[in-house]
Amino acid sequence: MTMDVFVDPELCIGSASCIRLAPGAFELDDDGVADVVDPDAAPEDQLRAAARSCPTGAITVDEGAG
Amino acid sequence: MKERIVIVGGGVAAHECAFALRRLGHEGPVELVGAETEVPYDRTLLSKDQLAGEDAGACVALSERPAYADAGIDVRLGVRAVRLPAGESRVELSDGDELAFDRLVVCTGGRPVMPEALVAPGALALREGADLPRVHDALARVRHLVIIGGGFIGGEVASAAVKRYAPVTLVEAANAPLAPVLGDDVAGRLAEMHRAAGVELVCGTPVRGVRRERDGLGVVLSDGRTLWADAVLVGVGMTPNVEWLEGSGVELDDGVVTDSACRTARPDVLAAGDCARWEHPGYGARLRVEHWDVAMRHGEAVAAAALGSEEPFAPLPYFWSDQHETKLQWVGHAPAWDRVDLSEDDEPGFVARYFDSERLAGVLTVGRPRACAAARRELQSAGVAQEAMSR
Repeated sequence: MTMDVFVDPELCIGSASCIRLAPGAFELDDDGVADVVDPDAAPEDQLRAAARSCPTGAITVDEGAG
Repeated sequence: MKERIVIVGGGVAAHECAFALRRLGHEGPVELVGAETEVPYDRTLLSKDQLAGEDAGACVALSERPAYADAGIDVRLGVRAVRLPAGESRVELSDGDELAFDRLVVCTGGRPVMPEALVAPGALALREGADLPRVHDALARVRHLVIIGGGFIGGEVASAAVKRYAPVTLVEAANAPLAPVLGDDVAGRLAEMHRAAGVELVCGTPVRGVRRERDGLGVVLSDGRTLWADAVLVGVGMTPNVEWLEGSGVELDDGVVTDSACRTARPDVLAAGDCARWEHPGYGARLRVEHWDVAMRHGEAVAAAALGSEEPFAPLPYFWSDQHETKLQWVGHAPAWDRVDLSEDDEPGFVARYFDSERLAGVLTVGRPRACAAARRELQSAGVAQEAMSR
């Protein structure tokens, strides 16, 4: 089972909280908006933490995907 | 640069500063001294998911312990700074030790105000990971929780309480929770949200005191009524942790006073986060902000400043609060406003736009994250604030 991770670029404000909480999974692009670069780089609990800690609720994790 | 940089504080600003120093190429020693026993963690979850869930769980570390070692950041926890002698580059710690520094970064945050009259035995506050077990446990067993103060912490604890079926009364001195900040119209709608969710609201009645009663606590209101409770949570504001800097040569005024680039009156001392009152060039005013997103950006800015950058810190303030499954979001800075435009439609939630002399100063959105994002872009393009740093 893998987890699908999405960032809604419209909602993201570039706090970079996800980048700290799930190292390797997210990066900020040139506009300061988070992108999912490698969801497998971080354990699932870190991905969940990144989603629930996001200041704007821009991150969704879809459990059971794949 | 091989300077020895000591960061006092263990919150998000301290964390960001420590790691940003390395990202910016600083090669000298970096030491983080935190008063709490945990490495910096996500404080925002304490009053949200962690309190509302059956199991409070552990604090969510912003970086796991090995990441500090990998980055060459020394961490000392459970120790607070107690004195900074004037004219000396050393800080005295609560364990009797002292640390020499070339540059000191102060990120000591704040603590809940606990007025003497409200501090009955057993009065709760919620700020740190160490506070959570008592508050979490209280929600599991209370027959009646009284929350004193209808600010964001009070609102979030009330939300968690109803979610966990704990009978709860929220007492607010003003006409409605947050009325002094958001105005009566908006606050009245938020009050409706609390009531609809099952929170008992008692407004317009400051609390005179909390007293011990035979079978619990009595919350005595200014109108003479007494509310019985078996747990009381106090959420009436924060005060910055800066007393230890008295006599250090650093200017204090409800926080550590800095210029726009995080520099205090002492060239070897900088400050950021909830404890800092800094000159915001976009607003031409000194601001002390107690919001997570600002503290995070401030931490990165102070790291650059410690390495010599003069870039002003000029964020567009943002905060959010989750109450009764609804996201409240604020963007902007509106210490004074003369008009509020409310827009509502058939969907739940609303958008309130705050104007000062016809200029849009801030926007509150309730259950409308997309409207908040749009407001943020609108305020940004108005050019008041610039992003603190490009990352």
